[in-house]
Amino acid sequence: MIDKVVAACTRVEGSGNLIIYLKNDEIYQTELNFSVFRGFENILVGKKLLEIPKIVSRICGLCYASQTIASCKAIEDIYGIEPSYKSILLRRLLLSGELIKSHMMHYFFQSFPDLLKIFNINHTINDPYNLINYNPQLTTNVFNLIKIGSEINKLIGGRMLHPITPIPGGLIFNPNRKSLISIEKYLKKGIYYIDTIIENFIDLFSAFDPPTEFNLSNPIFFGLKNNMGFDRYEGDLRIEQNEATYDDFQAKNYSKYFDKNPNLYGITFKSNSKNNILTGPIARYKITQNYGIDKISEYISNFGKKWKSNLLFLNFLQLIESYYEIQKSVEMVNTTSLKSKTKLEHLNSIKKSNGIGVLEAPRGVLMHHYHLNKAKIVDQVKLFIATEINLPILNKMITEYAKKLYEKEDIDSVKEKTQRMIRAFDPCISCASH
Amino acid sequence: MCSTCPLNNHAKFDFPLTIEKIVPRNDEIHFPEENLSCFLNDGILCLGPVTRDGCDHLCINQGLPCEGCLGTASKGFTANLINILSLFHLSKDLRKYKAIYYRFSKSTVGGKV
Repeated sequence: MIDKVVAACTRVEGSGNLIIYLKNDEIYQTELNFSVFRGFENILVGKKLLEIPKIVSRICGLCYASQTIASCKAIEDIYGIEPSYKSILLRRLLLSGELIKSHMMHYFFQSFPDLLKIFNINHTINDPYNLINYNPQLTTNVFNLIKIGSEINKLIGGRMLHPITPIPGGLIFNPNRKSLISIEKYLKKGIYYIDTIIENFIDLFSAFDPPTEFNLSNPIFFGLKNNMGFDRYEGDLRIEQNEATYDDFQAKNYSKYFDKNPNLYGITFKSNSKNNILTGPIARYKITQNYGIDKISEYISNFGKKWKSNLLFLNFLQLIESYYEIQKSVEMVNTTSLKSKTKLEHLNSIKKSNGIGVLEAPRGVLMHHYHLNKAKIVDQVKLFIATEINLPILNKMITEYAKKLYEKEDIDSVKEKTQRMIRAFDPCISCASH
Repeated sequence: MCSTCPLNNHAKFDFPLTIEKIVPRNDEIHFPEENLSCFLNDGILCLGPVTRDGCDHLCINQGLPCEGCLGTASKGFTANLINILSLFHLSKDLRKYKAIYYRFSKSTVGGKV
């Protein structure tokens, strides 16, 4: 007989359930289950192309800019146009604001209490009041960074959530001197805040070895590779088994490597390897290796090999990525081309029936694929979302972890501790249940 | 939201208006300071007349028409919308386009969108 134990998965983005299947009082499977299905791939069928970016933005309240810009890129691919350099810079700034906000919220509210428990530093943080009071300075810095991300998005996107300005062909925003100065001011303050948060992380956790249950067993890394260095906007896709064996391919050839059926759950990778695919900050780090900023290499050198093959390193990489994006944004704000006046690209005629837009969202590779029929109406939409890609490795790791825990502990403790591992993956359930 | 719209004073309607598009062309996007004509006058469908006020006209300030994302001004969004659309002469393309009523969802009536 099979028993099914369901626990609401708390402190993750969206609403999901942890389901544990018990057979003869032994755990045989554990999975993260989404109770909702919103059907965006069906909603978009038949809509006019230029309406799509605004609709897909509503998929998620954290990755709104990534969804909108990936959609704009796919539509630009259909029309065969390239937006101006200025528009690309502004899009990158918008993505940076989103990343800072998303990563800081996950690190502080979702992961930080778990890390304190895992490393036996503090077991008393069980509600937001305790969390805020644990280190008031850290809390202030985190809240300030979230505010910086929101303000950048409001200024460039026209709205804090679901940006208005990114449209196929460019971005409707002509920054004036005043707005550029205010963005720069925010970002320079942000460098100080993120510095203190990274130093706090190193002080608290770098002396410990991470638990072996959280070790990643040779996953295949999947991410965007740009020869110029770490980049989340442009580049080819890469599937990397290890440093020596990898496949680089253009996004338009993706169906040789992976595909999906919009009517079924999940993405199918056509790989012979038994190892699962992982995308997100860890994959970006493994693929890029070097962020090109000396201070980041200095910070990373505080952690040894054990940390670098561990899932909990994702939390540190989120802080590092926030630091990198803030530094790069300061450089971008000071470029002269932002002040130039350029017109939006015209969308004259449809050149192709397939359009693909790919970029790196905060949680990993995000790809939109639209197909037009002969009447030039969207008849098939495929959205490839990072959390969907990570689900098999997540389910495999939590099953192994839960089995190990259940040998010594009761089911309530298994439920609680397994959720820590789910939170460490940073799943975005809103995106995944699109 | 038309009563507080920054373009309100410049709307001079000569019914029936002809509506041809849902989204303006990229060269038609102007900030309200540069362009002082109502979207409906220009033949672009703006859902401002049937939408609740309170968003500070974020889209209109960026040169884009209202999408109705804040919700209906009074009961029955579809009924209100049909009322307002009856004042316009919709282009052939838009007359068959059901997604005007179901922008953020999918029509379950009559098969295809």
